[in-house]
Amino acid sequence: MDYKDIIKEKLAELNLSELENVLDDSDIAGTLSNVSAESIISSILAGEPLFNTEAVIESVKDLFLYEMKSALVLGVEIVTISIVIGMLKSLSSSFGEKAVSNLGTMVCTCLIIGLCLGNFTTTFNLCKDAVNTMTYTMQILIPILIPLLIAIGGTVSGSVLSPVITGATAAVNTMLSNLILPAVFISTIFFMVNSMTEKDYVNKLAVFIRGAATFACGISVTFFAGITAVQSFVTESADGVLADTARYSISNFVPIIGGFASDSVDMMLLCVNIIKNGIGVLGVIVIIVLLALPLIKMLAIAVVYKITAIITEPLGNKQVSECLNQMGNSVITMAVILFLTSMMFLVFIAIIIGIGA
Amino acid sequence: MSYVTEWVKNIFIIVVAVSFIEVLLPAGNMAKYVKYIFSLIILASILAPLAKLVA
Repeated sequence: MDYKDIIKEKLAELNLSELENVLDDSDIAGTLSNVSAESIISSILAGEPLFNTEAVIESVKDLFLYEMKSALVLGVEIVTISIVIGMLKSLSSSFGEKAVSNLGTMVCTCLIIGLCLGNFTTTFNLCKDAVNTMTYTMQILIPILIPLLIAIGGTVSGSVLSPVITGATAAVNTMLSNLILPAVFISTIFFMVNSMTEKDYVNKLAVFIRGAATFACGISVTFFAGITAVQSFVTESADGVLADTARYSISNFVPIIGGFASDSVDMMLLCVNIIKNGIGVLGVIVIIVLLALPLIKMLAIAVVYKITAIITEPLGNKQVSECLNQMGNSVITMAVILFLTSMMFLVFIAIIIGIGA
Repeated sequence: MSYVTEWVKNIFIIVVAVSFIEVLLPAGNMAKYVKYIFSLIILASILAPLAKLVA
């Protein structure tokens, strides 16, 4: 039996349709339409590169420009209102009373805050959805990978890592969607409301909440990735002892055919290992695609916020410019949180791929 | 979670209201005292969860 036949047979026994559905749903750009576990494994065996690098770069660039264009509408609206505010300020002497122009300025600021809040809510939901989809992907990926890991002799690794990774994934998802992302949202609301007046009422509070959220995210990701990595180091050596003992006893204690048997067991294990790594790579690709689309979108929105802040600054409205700048920072913070989370998931998959290599 | 939402909502409404009232305030002798009182109100609304924690 050829090793390709073994791999094909083993692959047919696995149910990968859910994972491939997630990939199809998230792949808007259409660059990865022909990626599946089978194609990845066959290109690994044939020694071909997995991606067409130029096409990937091209589609990322197109996507970024497209998102920039759609976010620019908001920027143009804000700049228009800022110009009106500048006009109101310069006309304040001809109104006679200062209160009228001040009131006009404030109403315009309210309008800008309303526009920003609508856009920011969309971005926030985008980030939340991305985290949830990634968690869902991990929850369908881990039950596929762990049995394969056990099949290649990683009994200890499989039984120890499965609850650790599942638990860490669920815990991080709960923390992010109930604690960290809402905290970033709240701090952004405080930044916005702070830009209503010239005095700083809640500026420090907003800075503190956002800092705490970023810190909590970093700590929890480091903590979970760390304990999983340490676990895997220990269990990997334990598995090595078990597998070697089994191989040694087959080849030495089974007379005559023992050597052949242990060799064919080795080949079987290698084939399953290739399948495990192929599916692991598919998981990595799914996670990266799930990360890339929201990340590009959020970075485009953040760039538009920052550019709008730069444009409104010379119009003489310090508060609006500061508010837009801080909103850009908030969107970047959410992008960083999303990035850290996906990094943690990638570390988990990499640990599973690394065992038994 | 609902308590946090209410806290944020309260601060939002109070700060917006205070900034509008400060603009509309007649520029009299009492204006600065009223503004000081407003700062105290915002302080109280920020510290509201602390009061609940202690009680």
